[in-house]
Amino acid sequence: MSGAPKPLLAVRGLKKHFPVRGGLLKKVVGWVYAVDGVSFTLEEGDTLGLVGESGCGKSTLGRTLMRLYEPTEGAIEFQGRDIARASAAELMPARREMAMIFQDPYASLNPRMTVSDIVTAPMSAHGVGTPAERREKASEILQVVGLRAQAASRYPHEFSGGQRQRIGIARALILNPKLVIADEPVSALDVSIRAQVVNLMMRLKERFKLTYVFIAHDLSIVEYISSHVAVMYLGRVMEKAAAKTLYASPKHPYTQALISANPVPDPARRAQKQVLKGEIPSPMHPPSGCVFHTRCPLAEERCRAEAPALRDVDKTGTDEHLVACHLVKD
Amino acid sequence: MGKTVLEVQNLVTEFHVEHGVARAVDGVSFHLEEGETLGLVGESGSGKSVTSLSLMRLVPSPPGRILPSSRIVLGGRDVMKLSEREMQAVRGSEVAMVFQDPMTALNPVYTVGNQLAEVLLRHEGLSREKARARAVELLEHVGIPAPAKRADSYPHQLSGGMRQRAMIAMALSCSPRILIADEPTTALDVTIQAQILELIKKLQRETGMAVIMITHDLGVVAETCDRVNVMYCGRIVEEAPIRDLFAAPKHPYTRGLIDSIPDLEASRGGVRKPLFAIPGMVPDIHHLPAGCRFAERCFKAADACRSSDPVLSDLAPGRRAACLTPLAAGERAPAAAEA
Ligand SMILES: Nc1ncnc2c1ncn2[C@@H]1O[C@H](COP(=O)(O)OP(=O)(O)OP(=O)(O)O)[C@@H](O)[C@H]1O
Ligand SMILES: Nc1ncnc2c1ncn2[C@@H]1O[C@H](COP(=O)(O)OP(=O)(O)OP(=O)(O)O)[C@@H](O)[C@H]1O
Ligand SMILES: [Mg+2]
Ligand SMILES: [Mg+2]
Repeated sequence: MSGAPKPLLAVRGLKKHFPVRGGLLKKVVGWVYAVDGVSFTLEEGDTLGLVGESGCGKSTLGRTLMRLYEPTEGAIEFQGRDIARASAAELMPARREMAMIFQDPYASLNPRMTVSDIVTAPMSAHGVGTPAERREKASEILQVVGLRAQAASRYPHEFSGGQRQRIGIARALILNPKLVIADEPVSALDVSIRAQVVNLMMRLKERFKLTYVFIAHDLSIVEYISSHVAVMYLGRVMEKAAAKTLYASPKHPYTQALISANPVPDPARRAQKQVLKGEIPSPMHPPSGCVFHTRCPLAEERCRAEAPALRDVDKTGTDEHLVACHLVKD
Repeated sequence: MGKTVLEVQNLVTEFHVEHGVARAVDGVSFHLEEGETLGLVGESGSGKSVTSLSLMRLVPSPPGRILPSSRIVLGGRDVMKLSEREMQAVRGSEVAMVFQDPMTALNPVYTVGNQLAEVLLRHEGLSREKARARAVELLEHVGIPAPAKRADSYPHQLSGGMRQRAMIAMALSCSPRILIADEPTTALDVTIQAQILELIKKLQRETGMAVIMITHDLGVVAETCDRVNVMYCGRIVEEAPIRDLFAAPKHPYTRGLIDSIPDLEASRGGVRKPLFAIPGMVPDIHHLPAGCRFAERCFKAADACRSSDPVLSDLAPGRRAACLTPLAAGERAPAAAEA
């Protein structure tokens, strides 16, 4: 193999629409445009932070990448192969290389399974290892995530939130995946426990050369953990850039508002907030043109009529800085 | 210093559960001044909500019980001595509360307008017509667009942010002197959170009410509070004016909380250090350790900390900490603790 490094993941024009059914006959009466034309690439070893307000499609995007949801349209190239329409059998090898961590450490673990069975479930699903080998692997991976090997024979309810999240992480890592999609992995955790789990995720990333998609609404944690950040609004990517660039010089009015609204934990730096007016429109009826125009302080006629393309406005020649806004100069 | 509108002394609230008695709030003392915003921060289960419910005498009983030795003085009156009837008059006109989940305060079967009007009928003795007009005014005041139309909506027909506004309107309907806001924005998006915090500030400026802001988010604390009490395991472990709290916390727990937030200024500069993580976890209130409750997680705990229980003591005007060896300026854990 030679040449330019291929991205681990390349997503093109990805859409996921959910039907809305109504009436006695449960006919389709509308669609939720949960993910509506998302494109991005992710290099091996990077961490892509995915931020945006509730309902903007972050979880749907994460689940569609994993093919837990069938994509409505678009391509998902994982290690050079499009898996968007692969059959279950064709998907198997890719599935081994991708894993997901969920937000709710309470709901995502089966209360009737032992920790050992939970973390080795992916091995069983892929027919990997003998029962003895699985047990051994379980105690090994539990230690990697900072739990005692004895934890293996216990049940989820015996653990605290932070420990349960470690169990979820152990399960995700058991097959040595390349790509880990973490959907709000620390949002449900207390402040003092959150840092433990974030540190663990960072250490594991180095150790196992992982690539992360890190979904969160906490902008500070995202900036801390991500190499790149994509900002979503109503199913679309509004802006994507290297994390430092995005936070230091956000270009999209929505990104600017989001960063301004984020509370700064430093009373010496209290500043006037740029408070966005109004609310997020329903993803069943996204606004015409630029979907953000109904809340944008700068919106012009053109924004109401024409949807802006996501384009590169980087001037430094180092890394892409993609923005979908008519008003940002090239 | 402003006038004291609330004084709490040695508040103890217990829950009688199957396997014994749990002290959710264990000897909490603090005061609140006119017009100020007092933060009550702490992690899940530290007793923030039970403290605020106790102030309103709304702790479910059984299983809960406020010990009679507790003193809660509200606008000069001892709340513990009031009859339930007198207490009802205090709720709403003296103190009102907004919660994280507005659905707990709003009745799903009545329209928002009717619920507001009902409160006004009862407390202010307005006529039905006047109450309705005032309800619409209140909805407008908290920034609900098309308030006359919205008044006819049921709570579930409103978005999370709008419901929170409606609950604030309800809380403010009888012009309370104290507003207790229990995680008012935790369930909301940041842009909506900014709107709601802004709204509370605006209403506070207009009415001069005092606010108790309950949250686990140090960002929200830093942006809204004048003074802060930090809770851990049912106790206040530190009190400080907002700037002092962040610049020079005295309790190792507060220090740890502040250090576990990513320092973005530093990481923008290049190197990304591991976050500081407080080791271990919060003890279970049914199995509290002897001595200082934070000792097993504390980087500087000594033998004395494990045997004697530190009391919240005055360190300087407006500054208290419950620690045998309060931190010196700049003192912190030697290294980022291993996760
Ligand atoms: N299985 C589903 N069926 C129908 N609609 C769905 C489904 N899952 C999500 N949606 C809708 O799709 C939109 C995007 O939801 P999604 O959960 O992806 O958002 P999110 O960005 O993860 O939000 P949050 O921050 O609240 O987790 C929402 O309007 C949601 O109601
Ligand atoms: N009705 C109840 N019965 C028994 N125990 C209770 C009851 N309500 C609260 N508790 C206990 O009291 C303690 C304090 O709870 P509280 O709700 O005040 O915490 P909190 O600081 O508000 O936490 P959070 O941040 O999660 O809201 C907890 O251990 C809780 O389990
Ligand atoms: Mg989600
Ligand atoms: Mg609470």
